[in-house]
Amino acid sequence: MENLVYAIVLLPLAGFLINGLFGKNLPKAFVGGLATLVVFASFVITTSIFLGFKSDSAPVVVKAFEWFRVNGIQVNFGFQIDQLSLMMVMIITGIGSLIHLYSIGYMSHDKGFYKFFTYLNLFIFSMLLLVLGSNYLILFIGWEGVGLCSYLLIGFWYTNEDYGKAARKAFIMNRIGDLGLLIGIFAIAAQVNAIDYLSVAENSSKFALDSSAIIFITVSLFIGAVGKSAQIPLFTWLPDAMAGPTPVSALIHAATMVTAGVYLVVRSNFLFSLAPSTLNLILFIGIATSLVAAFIGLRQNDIKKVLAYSTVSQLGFMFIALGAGAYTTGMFHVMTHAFFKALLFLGAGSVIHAMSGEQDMRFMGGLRKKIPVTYWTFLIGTLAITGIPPLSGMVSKDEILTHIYAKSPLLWGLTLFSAALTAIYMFRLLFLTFFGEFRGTEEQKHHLHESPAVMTIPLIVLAILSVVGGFINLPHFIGHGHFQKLAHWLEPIYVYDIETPEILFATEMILLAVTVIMVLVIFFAVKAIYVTKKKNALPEESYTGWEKLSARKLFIDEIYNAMIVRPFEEAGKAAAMFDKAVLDPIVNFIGLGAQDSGRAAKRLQNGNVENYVLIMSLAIGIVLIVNFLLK
Amino acid sequence: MSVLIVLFLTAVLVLFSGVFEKGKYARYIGILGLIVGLYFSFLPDCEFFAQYKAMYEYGYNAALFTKISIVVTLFLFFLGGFAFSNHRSHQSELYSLMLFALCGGIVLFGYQNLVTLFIGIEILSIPLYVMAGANKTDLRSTEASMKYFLMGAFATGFLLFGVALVYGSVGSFDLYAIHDFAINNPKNLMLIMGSILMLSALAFKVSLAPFHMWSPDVYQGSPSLITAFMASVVKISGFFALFKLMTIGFNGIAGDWINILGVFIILTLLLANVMGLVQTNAKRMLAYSSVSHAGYIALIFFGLNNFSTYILGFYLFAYSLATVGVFISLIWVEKIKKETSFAAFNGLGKREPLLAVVSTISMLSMAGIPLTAGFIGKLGLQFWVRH
Amino acid sequence: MSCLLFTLLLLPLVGSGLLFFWKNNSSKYIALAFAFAEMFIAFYMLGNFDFHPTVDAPLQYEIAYPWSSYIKSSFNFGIDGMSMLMVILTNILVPLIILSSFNEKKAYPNSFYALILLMQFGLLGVFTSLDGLLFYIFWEVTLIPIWFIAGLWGQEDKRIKFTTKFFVYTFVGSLFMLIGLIYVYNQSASFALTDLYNATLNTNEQTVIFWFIFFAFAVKLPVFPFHTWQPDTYTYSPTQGSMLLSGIMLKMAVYGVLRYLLPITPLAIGGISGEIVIILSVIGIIYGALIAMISTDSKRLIAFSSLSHVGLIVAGIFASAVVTMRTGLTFEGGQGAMVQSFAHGINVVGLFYCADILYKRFKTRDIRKMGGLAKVAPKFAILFMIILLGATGVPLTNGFIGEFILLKSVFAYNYIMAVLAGLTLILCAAYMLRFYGKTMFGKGDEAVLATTKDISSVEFSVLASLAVFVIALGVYPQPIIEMVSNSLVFIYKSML
Repeated sequence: MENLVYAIVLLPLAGFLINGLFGKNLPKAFVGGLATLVVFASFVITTSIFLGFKSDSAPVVVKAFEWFRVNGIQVNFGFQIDQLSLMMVMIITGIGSLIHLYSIGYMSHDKGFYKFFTYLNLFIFSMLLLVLGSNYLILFIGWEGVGLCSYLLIGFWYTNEDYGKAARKAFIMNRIGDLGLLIGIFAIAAQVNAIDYLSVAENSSKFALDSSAIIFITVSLFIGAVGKSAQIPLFTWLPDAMAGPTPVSALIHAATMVTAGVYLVVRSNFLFSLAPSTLNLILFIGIATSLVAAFIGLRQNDIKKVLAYSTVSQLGFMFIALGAGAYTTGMFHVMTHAFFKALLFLGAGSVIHAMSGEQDMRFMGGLRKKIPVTYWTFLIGTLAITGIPPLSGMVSKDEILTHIYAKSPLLWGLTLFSAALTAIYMFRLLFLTFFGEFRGTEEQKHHLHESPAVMTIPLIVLAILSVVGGFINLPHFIGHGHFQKLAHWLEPIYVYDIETPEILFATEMILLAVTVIMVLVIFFAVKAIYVTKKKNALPEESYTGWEKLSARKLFIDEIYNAMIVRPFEEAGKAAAMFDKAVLDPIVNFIGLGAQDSGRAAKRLQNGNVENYVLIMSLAIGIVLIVNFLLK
Repeated sequence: MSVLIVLFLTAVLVLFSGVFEKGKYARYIGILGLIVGLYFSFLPDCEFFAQYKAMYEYGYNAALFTKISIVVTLFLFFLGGFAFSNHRSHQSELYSLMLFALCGGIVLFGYQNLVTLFIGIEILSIPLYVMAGANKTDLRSTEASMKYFLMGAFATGFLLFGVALVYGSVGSFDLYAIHDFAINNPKNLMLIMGSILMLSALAFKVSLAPFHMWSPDVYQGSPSLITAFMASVVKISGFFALFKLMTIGFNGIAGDWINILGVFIILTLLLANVMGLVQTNAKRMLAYSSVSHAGYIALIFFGLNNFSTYILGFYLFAYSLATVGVFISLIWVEKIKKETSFAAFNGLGKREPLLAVVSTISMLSMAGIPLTAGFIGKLGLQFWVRH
Repeated sequence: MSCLLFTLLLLPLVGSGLLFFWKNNSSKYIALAFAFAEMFIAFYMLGNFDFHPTVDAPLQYEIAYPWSSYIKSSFNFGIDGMSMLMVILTNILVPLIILSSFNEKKAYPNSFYALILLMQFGLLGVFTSLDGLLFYIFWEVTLIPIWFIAGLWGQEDKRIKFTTKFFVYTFVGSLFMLIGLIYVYNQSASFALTDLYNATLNTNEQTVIFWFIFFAFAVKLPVFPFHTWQPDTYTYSPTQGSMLLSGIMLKMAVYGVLRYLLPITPLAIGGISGEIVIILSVIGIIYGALIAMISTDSKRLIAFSSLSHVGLIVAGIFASAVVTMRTGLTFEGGQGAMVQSFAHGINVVGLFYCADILYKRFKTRDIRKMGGLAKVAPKFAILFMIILLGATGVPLTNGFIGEFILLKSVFAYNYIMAVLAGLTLILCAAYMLRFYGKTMFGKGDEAVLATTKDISSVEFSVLASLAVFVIALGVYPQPIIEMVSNSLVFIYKSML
């Protein structure tokens, strides 16, 4: 087992090193092929482990080496194989290899071809460290590593300064979250004197329910999750991250990196389950995020931006599930979302490729005839995300809705509203892009063509997964829980019992029906607007009222800029001024003070002998008199 | 005493050698004489001179300080060839005057008696008054000479007055008699007054504040080599004289004069360092530096023990060497640039690197940077003061 | 008497003396040869170094030679874990620093290289002396060469003024330290380290002595608000001067704090003085980072980033010290400080070299006027990025472990302080990435870039060596931690 685990992690690293050092001189096919192959190999190995792993097997910890020892805490570089990590690794390497394959086609004209694959492999390596690490520190290494790769890949076309700024913004915002995560790790270490998962889980029982210690820890960890998974208030980096090449958006900002936050919470279930207050906070933020992001997505014109806000919104859904205590549901949605969101992004990439680089939906239209494979796969993805049965998206979303209903019908209503918004913006996207008449230039029309096989094959695979992915965890009422494979699989992960909500069969059916009907209604309504009435999206500036708020992203970027970025810059300038105008002069003053007194004293020495003699006599006189008096 | 005689004879010879060949050999005779004198300084004094013990005794301390002064004077003589190359005439007089002044200093090293003290001071000072004015063409030099003479006379007046008071109370000029008297009669007002007056007079000589005011003008005006002599040998002699007087003669009434001395020291350190900061002329700045060093040296009074004389000797020696080092560059610049403002020193590093190095090390030593003798000296002082 | 240690100390001095009187232009090769020889000796000593000595006898390679029975001080040198690490750091960085100047034509090269070797001598003396007076002497000795280097080879219009300020400020600081040391000496048997530790001082005495001695270190590190000399001096010194100052000289102060301050004045540190220092250093972290964020001069930016990083080191040391005094023995702050000192030494030398390379290409230090260099200098882009990441403390680089341990030790003291200190994570990323983005990314000036070449082999070898250290120590930091742990336990235990 050990060697297999090392292989899983080291293969992408090897790909990174080989392509990084020699890729410049190797043929493109080799570079792309090698990169894809190493990730796929990791996938195969993981699958083989998975097949041998029983659903009630104990976690296997593989210790690579002693990393360092600090004040009694020994930190090992080690990996933990259990149901959760296997699941994550399969998603990462599986979808990862598909996206690698896709990139061979997408990036084929780019000068930085080998660099792209170098960074991608490095990313996979970091992400694997994140999910395979056996303690919080290895997780943190992977956590920062993926942040770094994200920075490198967002700013991949570095001659564009705006892209560079977007990359920096992502990194820095992530780091805010990272600080929270680090503080959480310190707190864990301080309380439990260990940071590996098994020890912490064992000792977690010493925390009283909802005690200040556990709340501090879980909130700190959650702050980390908020940063990495783009929840309110640290989400504005993700839409900006669309500056990177589309495969990057697909892999990092949809399927893998952004789910790290969810992974963190599920991995730390033995902590979060003891802090109901924090779970409520998570729930609250999840709902808020899903609503806000979905709202903004309604009036975005860039196809990738819509998908970006959609990702944020869907992540919100995952956190809603976590907040309701439904860890498995959260992970389920991670998986299905990975399928259909990667599909949607790759499809968008295919559209952009066909449109010779155009990303604005106002200039698209009627593409379904021109790029059929892309269209059909994209349609499947859209149906999945909006929740049309029996696609995967519907199953996982329905599970979320069910759990949240059990917690509070009001919250269910809000979540449902968010799902409605999802349907609206997705269908809008679909219709604007693929239906109606082509609104682009002649030049673009001329170049419209379907993507090569390297790009369409991943699309098809993902489409298939989006359709059947739901079947691993069908709702309870189907087969009396017999088909809840995922829930059974992940059960050993949870230390504390999770109360599954008692939902009547009838209620479940009604909820399901409501959701589906709503989606269908929206489908036809949106179609009517954009296809029948041929309404087009407007340029950003033309929007008014609520549409303006949506198009302008609720002005959140501007608010952040004014409330946070500018004050920091001003603080920096103030500090620099303080340094120059206050501190420096004080030091100089001390030096000058000596000089000034010197100048003053100089006047005594005026060259007159009589003066000197007078002073001498006075001095002696005073001394004598004083002495005389003292006796 | 034999050293004294040798040096005196040398001085006379040097003076007379001025008759031959415009005194070209004066310096070499002087160097020769100094070397001989140095040799003699290592030998114990002849039995013959023991009968004059009441006035002058060539004891251990005297020997130590004599050696120090002669070595420093030797350096100055070596330097003299370079310094005075422009003055073709009157060289022999200057060298002989220096040697006479040195004699005066040696007298001060071994004095046992207030009369000898006075004689030594005068022998030391009078040639200096003349030497200060040696640059006949420079008005400043004449001014320096005049000022030095006037104020020196004034100070001597105080000295004599002090001697008179002391004699009046003790009944003897002998240093040890005074010592015994002071211990037995610590409250004697006349004695105390006398000691204060003598202290002030000697403070003038070593330029402690507020009796230092002659230093800047005199140092600046005198020819540079003479200034070097003043800053080194005169300080050594003056300090030793002061040290001996206060620690032996007036030991018993230490409580009375130590505080006054403390005030002088504080004033010296403050004034001299502060004023040294704002000088633009190197020579004048070195004068203030010299004054401030006097302040530091005087700190030795605050931690007296068996090793004090060694510390004093070491510090004075180190300080004198540093002074000579600095003055070498000063003189060199003076010759080239005809002036000694700071600006004149620009570019010294490039033109004469070895010179620059020597000067820098000397200055660092004066500043008390470790690895130089100046540091060790300062350090030693610190320890005493702590105790 | 250890011949190895003797050679280690004297070799640079000999080399320095030789170079001062050297005639032709091959001085840089000679200096490099000496430096490499030093490095070999140091690594050889490392090879024979016992990583796990018994705690009570932590010294290896001793020299003891009393030179004055009156002042009870002796030539006592020795090496324990902490000093070994610092010796290695010095001997790794000096050859690289010398190498970094190979492409330039310096005026008076012989003196320049002689001064660098003299500096090495002083630094090694500081790190290996076991006698308080000796420590002070070597401390001052290091001041001389850097004064000359900064004053003579610095930027033409600014060097005199700022070098004087630097010299006087530092010197005044050291004088306070001397007074403090002498006072402690008076209460103990001799200047030897162990005797100084055993000096009997009450709380008030300790407080005064603490501030006296700390003042010298506070100026040198620097600690806010005694830092005003630092940005100017780092900026206007020649690159090698800045490297020496930030790479090794300030480590002297870190070493001094651990060696001379903690065990001698524990009561003061346990009281309010330690807390004040922590507050000042955390302020320094944020202050330095904020100013770095808006700096447009590349060297100034690095200077303020150094202020920020050093703030964390000091905060960590004192946080663990305070916790030790109040709760129980904990020395992770010291461990983090040592690891981070080593990492910072390497990273900051790398950064200054990158700034130098940028200056040579763009002829300016203003980062707003640079840009786009990654297009024409990919090798430089990668190496610069690696060093930058190390400075930012990205995991698997050398900067992370130290930062992690230091923040952890601050957390043990007070979690709010840890959050404030942790802002360095965010701010450092901000200003470092801004630095890289403005200089390497973007379009840049086409005209300038057309004639710009990638880094030469000399530049490459220096940067690559540093980059190797960045990553190697990031992946496997345990040797360093092990090396210093014993000595640190001893020091923190001596507080109790």
